[in-house]
Amino acid sequence: MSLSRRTFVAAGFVGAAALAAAAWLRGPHAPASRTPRRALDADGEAIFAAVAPVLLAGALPEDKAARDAALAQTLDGIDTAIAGLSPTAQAELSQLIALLALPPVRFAFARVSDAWPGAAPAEVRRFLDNCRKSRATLMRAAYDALHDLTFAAWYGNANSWAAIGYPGPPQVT
Amino acid sequence: MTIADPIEAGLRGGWNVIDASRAERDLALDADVVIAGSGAGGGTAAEILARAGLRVVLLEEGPLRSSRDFRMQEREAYPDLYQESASRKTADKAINILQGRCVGGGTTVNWTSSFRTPPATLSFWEREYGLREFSTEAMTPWFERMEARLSIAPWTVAPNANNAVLARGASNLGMVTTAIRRNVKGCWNLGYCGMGCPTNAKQSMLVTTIPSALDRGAMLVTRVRAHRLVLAGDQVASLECFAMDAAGTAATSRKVTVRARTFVAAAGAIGTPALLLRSGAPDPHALAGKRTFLHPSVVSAALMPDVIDGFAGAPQSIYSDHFLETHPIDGPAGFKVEAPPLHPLLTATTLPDDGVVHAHWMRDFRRMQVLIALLRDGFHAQSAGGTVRLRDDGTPLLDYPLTPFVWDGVRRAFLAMAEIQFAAGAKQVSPAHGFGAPFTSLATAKAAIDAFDLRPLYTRVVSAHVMGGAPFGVDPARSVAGVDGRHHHLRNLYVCDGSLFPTSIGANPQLSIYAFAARIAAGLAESLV
Repeated sequence: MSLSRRTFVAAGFVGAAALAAAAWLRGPHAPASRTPRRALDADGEAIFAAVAPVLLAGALPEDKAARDAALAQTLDGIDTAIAGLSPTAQAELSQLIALLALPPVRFAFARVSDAWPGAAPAEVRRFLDNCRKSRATLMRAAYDALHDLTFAAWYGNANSWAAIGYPGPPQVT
Repeated sequence: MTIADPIEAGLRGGWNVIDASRAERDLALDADVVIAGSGAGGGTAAEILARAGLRVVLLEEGPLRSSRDFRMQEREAYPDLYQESASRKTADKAINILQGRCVGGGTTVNWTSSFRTPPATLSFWEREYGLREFSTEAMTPWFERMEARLSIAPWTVAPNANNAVLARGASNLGMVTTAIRRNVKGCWNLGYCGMGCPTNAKQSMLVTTIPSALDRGAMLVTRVRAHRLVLAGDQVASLECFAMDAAGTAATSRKVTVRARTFVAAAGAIGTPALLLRSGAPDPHALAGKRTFLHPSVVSAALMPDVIDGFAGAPQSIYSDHFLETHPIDGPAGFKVEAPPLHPLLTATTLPDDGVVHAHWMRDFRRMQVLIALLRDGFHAQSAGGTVRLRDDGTPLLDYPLTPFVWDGVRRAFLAMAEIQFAAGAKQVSPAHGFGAPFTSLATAKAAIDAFDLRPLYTRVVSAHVMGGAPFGVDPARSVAGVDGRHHHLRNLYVCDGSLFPTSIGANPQLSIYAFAARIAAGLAESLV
């Protein structure tokens, strides 16, 4: 898939100044999220809730209730992981989330015209592909952050281990 | 069977240990020697200086943990025991750095691989930097001393299946592999070294030199970040530190000030240069933080016909230096080939791609085999490493540009690892780069690797070895410290960790750090008592 012109325009626009602008545009008070969170704000929750099912396709359980529960645990794990990062890393991630939540960026990279919670899986897939192929290192870093946090939360959780045959740590006493 | 816990016993026996995150007021401490950092350098120095009868204060940013805390759970261990939750990144986020941040530093979480500094590295230092004092002959007694202290010995147990693939594949190609020596005593062969040894078999600083120093009256202050050396003329007067918060992720405004006769910087090759920079230490040639090396490493995953269970058994027991020896040391990047432990979280985050491709690899987790290639940096004229600088908040940031020199080595390393894996019988090989289908033959892998568009954040690059940034040397125009570790411009400040190295080591560096730290600390002890 080649880079679309619009993606390229967005990639050129992305940079430290864009991050700062995104944080400013969003303002200091993002709405409170549904569940008590240590680190994720509402934008972050919406973005991870949209990308996690796509990143984890093939790993998530088929059953709807089991799948929803697994995704909820993954979001909890992502929140915990972010809370354990240094203040600098948390601030950078927060700026990145603010950037991805901006409608022009969302549209350029994903053609997602509705807010993130309304994004279809195919739109999210396109967004992830555009990020990881982007000429802008910042967008590739965004993909890595979404990838690493989601897979860390999923495979750090003992509930995922049976499916991959990992027996868990041995007993030492 | 109950595992004896030397930390618990020592604390019960009256060790002088303060958790600064729990301090209710600012602290002022006095010492003969204060050591910033409790890893391979600081831990080694602490024992030698305390044995000499000096009053030692040892500082550590991370927590004091013990075998009972090491539950072999990745999601607990990485945030608790590693810098930045094991996701410390270089400036452009293209390299992920694994670095310890707990009492014992990297030695508490490393994979126990123990190599003497290669003779080729020491002779390069002699030739290029005039470091005649550090010939292999001169260093041998120091290697022997630390090998004896830390039970470093050949590992005679059969390698786990993950390492056996390296031995078999290389052998089928006519390459030599060698068994890795390990610093263990009574090892259970579990495979969880990277999350802290749950049986105290690993002879890290945590269970050897640090308890020994504490038994001799040293004080240990944990969860404290060394912030700034306060200078007075050509001396350091005190070390200002900040207590960390309860979670250990951020510094608070609670101060810990240590006055001492002598100051030892052992905060690792990112932390030590950062401390010098924050302190405004005299640096007429702007050397502090420059030439910081990482052994940039790349990863290749293979699907094997049989069960590998790479999470079980000593994580590293076989290596090949074949590709360190195919070019001159200052030629194109050579690389060491090793195998890493495979645990679900670290494996899944390191594997490229996502969705069903990623899920398929993980479904075959038990048959997965992984090799890593560690590039030797700092020898070639085009390999200047990275630069540690300070963010606005004073925390360090390593800028390590991935240059054509590195990418050339990466391409050859991907090819070498795929060759070894297919030669050992791999069904599929997937270099950790970009995304797309795994390769089912060496021919297709080779064609693809030759065409790889290698670039930051597309190719996965990792590091577990940070070196350089405050090099020792005989020429003050090219070095920060003298060959005795003493800072060229501050006469009571010593550097005593991996930041002393003028290049990378070209092997896992723990034994190099132990040996040089022992030599520097022994000299310092002699000069002080």
